[in-house]
Amino acid sequence: MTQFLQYTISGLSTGAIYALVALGLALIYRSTRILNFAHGDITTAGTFFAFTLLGLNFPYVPAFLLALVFGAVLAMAFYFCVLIPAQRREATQLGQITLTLGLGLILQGLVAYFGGTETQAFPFPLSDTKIYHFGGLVISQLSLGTMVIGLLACLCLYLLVQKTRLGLAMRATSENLPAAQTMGIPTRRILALSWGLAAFLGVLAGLFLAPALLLDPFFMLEPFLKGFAAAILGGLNSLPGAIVGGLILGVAESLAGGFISVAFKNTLAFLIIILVLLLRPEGLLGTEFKERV
Amino acid sequence: MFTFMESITLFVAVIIGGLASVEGSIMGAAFVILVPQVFSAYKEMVPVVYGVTIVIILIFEPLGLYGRWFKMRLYFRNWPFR
Repeated sequence: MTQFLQYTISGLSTGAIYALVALGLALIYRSTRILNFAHGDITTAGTFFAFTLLGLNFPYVPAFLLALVFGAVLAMAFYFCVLIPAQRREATQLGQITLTLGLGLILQGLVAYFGGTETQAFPFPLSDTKIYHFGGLVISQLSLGTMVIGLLACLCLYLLVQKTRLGLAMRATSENLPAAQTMGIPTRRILALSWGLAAFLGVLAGLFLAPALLLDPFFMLEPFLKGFAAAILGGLNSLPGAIVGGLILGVAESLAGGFISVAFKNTLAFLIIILVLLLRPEGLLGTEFKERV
Repeated sequence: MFTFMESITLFVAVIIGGLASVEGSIMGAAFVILVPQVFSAYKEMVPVVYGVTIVIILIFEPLGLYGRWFKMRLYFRNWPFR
């Protein structure tokens, strides 16, 4: 039983990372219907920015804040400089999705060119080896911090989307774009803000993942694909779904890795996804396909 | 051998050559092979070249290289009389 709880806890901390990545993807998908393939690479760019600042002897907090802002500005610049001109020229949905893939390739190359392809250790205020005991359970400082930050970010996002006027505008824009425009909501700015917010969450996940893995230009690829799967599991147009999907994926992975074999870590997680999507094609909390009849 | 990067490269070839055209995918494949050769001194810059080409093609020439060639052929077919 203790072992089960132990695996669950370590799964929840990985799941918090997946949930943050999935939230960013779902946030963009539900407002613009674009799958953001550059999400992982924006995250990597932000994390490398933080790494460079730390190398220049910045203290931790300003460096991380600047990195978060850097990621957000990068995504907003992409929205304004590439996506809007493409929409003016009536690019298709697939075309816009492919544009994000192009941005991902550009960022990946630039990060590899300026950051170097060799793996580096990422300095971090929370330690991976310092361990707390709760009853029989063991949890490292880093996993605890990841969980707390993940929960805080989800809570802040909930408050922002559900309780403020800005969130109301975001919900209106994602529900019906022309109607929101007629009601006088500056939809273009709201959509740019969604992009920025998504990149912000992504870089947050990257910052907490980098000390656990080692930093190289491709370190976000696997977490990005997992976050993608988590977002689809929860329903791509639902924000709570992204959180639930991420946590389920993390816990399933950890339990499978602990009780069956490490080789089955990914297999079981994706088996669960296949089963859920067979029974509910719109995802656990999604509503997409019901509206389309 | 066929990693995730490999499938992205093939996807890039199809996009650059032109979606939904068989001749285009041949041109795109030629492009994808040519770029790493030309930029062999700057290996890290190869994805950047791919990405910039995708962005330019999708914004200015959505039919890809094949579409460009098709338009040029059409132009020269009835060249003096237009």
